Amino acid sequence: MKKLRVAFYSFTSCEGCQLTLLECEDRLLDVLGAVEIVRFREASSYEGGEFDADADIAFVEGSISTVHDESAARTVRSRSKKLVAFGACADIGGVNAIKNREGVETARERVYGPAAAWIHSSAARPLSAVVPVDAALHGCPVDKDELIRFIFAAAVGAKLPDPAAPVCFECKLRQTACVFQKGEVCLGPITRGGCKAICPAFGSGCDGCRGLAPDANLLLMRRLLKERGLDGSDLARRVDLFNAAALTEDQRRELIGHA
Amino acid sequence: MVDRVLPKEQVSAFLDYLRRRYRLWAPVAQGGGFVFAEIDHPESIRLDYPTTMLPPKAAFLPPNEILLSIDMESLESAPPPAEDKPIALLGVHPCDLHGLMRLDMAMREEPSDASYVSARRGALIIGLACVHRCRPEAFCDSMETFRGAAGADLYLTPIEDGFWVEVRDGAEESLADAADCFRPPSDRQKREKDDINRQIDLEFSGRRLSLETLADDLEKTYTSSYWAKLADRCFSCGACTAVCPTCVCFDVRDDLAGGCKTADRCRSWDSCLLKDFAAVAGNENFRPKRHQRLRHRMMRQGSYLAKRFNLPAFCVGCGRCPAMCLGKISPLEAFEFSQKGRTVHV
Ligand code: SF4
Ligand code: SF4
Ligand code: SF4
Ligand code: SF4
Ligand code: SF4
Repeated sequence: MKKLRVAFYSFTSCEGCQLTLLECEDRLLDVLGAVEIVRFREASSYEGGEFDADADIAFVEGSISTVHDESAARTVRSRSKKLVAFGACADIGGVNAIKNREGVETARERVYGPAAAWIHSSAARPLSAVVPVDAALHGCPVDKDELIRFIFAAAVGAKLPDPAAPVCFECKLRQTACVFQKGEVCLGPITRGGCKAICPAFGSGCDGCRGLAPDANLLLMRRLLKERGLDGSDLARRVDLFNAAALTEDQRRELIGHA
Repeated sequence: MVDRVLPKEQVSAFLDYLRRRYRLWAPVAQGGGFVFAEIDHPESIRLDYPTTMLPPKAAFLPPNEILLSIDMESLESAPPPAEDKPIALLGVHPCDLHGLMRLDMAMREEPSDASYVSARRGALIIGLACVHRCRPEAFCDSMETFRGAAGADLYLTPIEDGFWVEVRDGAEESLADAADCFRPPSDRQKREKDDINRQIDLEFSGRRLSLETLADDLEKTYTSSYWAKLADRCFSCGACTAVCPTCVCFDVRDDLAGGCKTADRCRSWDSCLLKDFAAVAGNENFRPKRHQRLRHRMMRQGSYLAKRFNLPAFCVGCGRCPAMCLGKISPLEAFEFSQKGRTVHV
């Protein structure tokens, strides 16, 4: 059987999701045994063009926030049979989309100062805003075990089901004492699980990096957060950490109280 | 049934015996609460625990397990190697004993579940009486599951000198080598034990349900608008079923491992509250709405399985789900609604 040709690409991101794969040290040889990696800049010395390979699956990290990102995403789409949004930035816009809420111009001036006029940037968008996406690996960063399972499944032509359970479900299986009940803020009840509830397990409430769970009860979340004293702009900041570009206007109204 | 006393000074010898012969599971403190765990150090055992986060069911039906590994070249398959010793579960409170009995009914119903049956084989269940309600949310009184002994091989009641031990008929032989640890009870100890039983009856005298009609009453609420209102407080997060001693639903998935050289058939707990639980081919979903899923769980706990297994209810009132649920949804409230027609407090 011919090995699956896999490529890794990166747009506006911290490249932490690519690093997550490289950190699967004990499983890297297994991965190489199962698939052929045709592009992976972060892990190789290849100095040719970045988007010059045909692949069966392209894992695309990063959100789309420049014209270059946008045209490169189209190139990758046209040269890859399947496209995977690889991590929160590509999946839902992620942390990069915080700037969308304060205004792209303001953000550009803050970051580039006098050189701002030289730099093009747009609102940060998920990959799916620009090209059709076949699957997503959620999280900031992606979960190692889920990633490896995804790659092995793809190698035999299968696709992992998207986890539907909110973070709370795995949190209970892990027998973590609920940080929400301890008086802190946790977005676990409305956030898509699959991360093994790692943040609550280390004592910190979920920030929602995996995006909204299916059928999330946003009104209830808002009511409980308000009881916790989180409301208005503080609530918006918490939600916008990862989900500034991920919610529809209606969803924002339900969760935050305004769009 | 034989009555014995396990004196305080014999407890550690008895634990040593259990650890020689069994893989010993017991409550230990963890993360501000208590959990059932396999015991390496007997001094970590906490028989004074109120209740645990996950029920002891996890000893026989783990949240995640591999049922079978398939070699992808030879296509030979084999279950994981069997454990060398059976499990002893120490310190199981009455509601959880009732939970284990219900788990057993569901998992042994034909065709019985091979992995469960093998994990359960030869297990010794040691119950522990509750003298006080473990948490305000518990409603074992209403479910009439606060009394123990049934479902246990040994049933311990704490007394001043140690533990009163009721030994189930047929369980004596599993104690043969530990017979030295036990004493015949004295008259004074017998009186103390009777007193404690009276205290238990008083502590748990606040029944709020008519169990005889619950299964029918609950079904009559099926079309009520109550469920949609209740679901306003539900996240569909599945935390309630995750902590439930009587939930038995699981998902089975094949995962490739070792560079696709093996395929593991993995089983993990599932939950009827989750959106994809009743999703089937063709983009259909039997229970696409949150209130349908919540109603299903309550019906299942108060009616469906009760009828199927000829029990007053399947829920044992352990109080875990209402204590964990951020929306503070309790089966007791739904059951009461069906009997009193109360309006839901939102
Ligand atoms: S999702 Fe997080 S870890 Fe991954 S690239 Fe974006 S910022 Fe980095
Ligand atoms: S800590 Fe957060 S994720 Fe865990 S159960 Fe509580 S609310 Fe849910
Ligand atoms: S707990 Fe929340 S923030 Fe943390 S990894 Fe999981 S989804 Fe992301
Ligand atoms: S009843 Fe409570 S614990 Fe259960 S799914 Fe709804 S919110 Fe979660
Ligand atoms: S439904 Fe709730 S109260 Fe009843 S047995 Fe399950 S966890 Fe305990």
